[in-house]
Amino acid sequence: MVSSLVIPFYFMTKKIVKKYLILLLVYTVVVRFIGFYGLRLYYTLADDPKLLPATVQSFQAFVTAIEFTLKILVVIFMLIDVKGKKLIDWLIITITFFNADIGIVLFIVWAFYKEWPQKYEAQQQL
Amino acid sequence: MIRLLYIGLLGQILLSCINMNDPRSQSEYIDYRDKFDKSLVKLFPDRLPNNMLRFEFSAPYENIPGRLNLMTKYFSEKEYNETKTKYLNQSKHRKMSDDKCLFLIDNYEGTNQKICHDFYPIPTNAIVETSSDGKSKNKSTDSEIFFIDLESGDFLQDNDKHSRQDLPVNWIHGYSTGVTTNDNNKTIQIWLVVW
Repeated sequence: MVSSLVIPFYFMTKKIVKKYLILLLVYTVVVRFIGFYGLRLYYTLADDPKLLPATVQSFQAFVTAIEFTLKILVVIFMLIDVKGKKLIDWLIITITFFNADIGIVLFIVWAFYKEWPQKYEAQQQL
Repeated sequence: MIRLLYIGLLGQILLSCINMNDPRSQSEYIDYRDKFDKSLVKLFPDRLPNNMLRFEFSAPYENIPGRLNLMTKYFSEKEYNETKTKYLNQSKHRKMSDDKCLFLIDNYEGTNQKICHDFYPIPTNAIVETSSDGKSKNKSTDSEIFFIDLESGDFLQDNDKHSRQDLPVNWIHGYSTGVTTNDNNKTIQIWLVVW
């Protein structure tokens, strides 16, 4: 009886964590790696680097646009996934909007923390 | 665990090899460098080095000379001395920054500059240092100037009139390139001025 209550919840948390870990990976690769190191690697490795300042500016603007879209996407996912939002949930969502990677990590930690008492109680009852 | 440590270490080594300058500054520098004839910018690296402090450019316009400066800072005494020696060996003339015969070619504020028999044109920023708040400018007294190349003649060849009638007859056109070194700050500035 108790284990049937615990397993769906644990499965749901795992599913959410997996989803947000993928989002964190995508965000890190796009923003932190391609956005930061992309052109720096090009200027390190290219024999005769010739990019117009306007092209560089366009690339940086494109990465910024992608970053913004990803942030919005993550925030929307969070708004959908979090049921019965508390102040801390709103705080994490706000942090995510300004700094997505820190926000996602906080969200994952908070999801585990919320799950912990229920799992502990279930174990006690067993 | 040790394998992870090795991977991390390898990653750090690879990252330290990457040119970390802002890509926009990098593209601007390359663009500015390409505006001058290749023979004039031989001293300048083809991309901004990681130890770059700042660079400045001004396009030649009428009697305002074209200028490119690149300031680098060295944290290793040995590397600084090696680089300085390299420029010293290449130099045609060596002067101190307080030498009265240095002619600030782009300084119009104090136009009554002394023109010595031997003409040593340099850009103002090669010896004038701006304070950290940007409010005051002081002439450096402890820097050394190495003239790597200076020659009279029209090197801009852009069909615009850049002639400087205020200069000696054989120097109405010309260029000067060299480096300014400062042992106290361990900075090396590469500069070029063309008019």
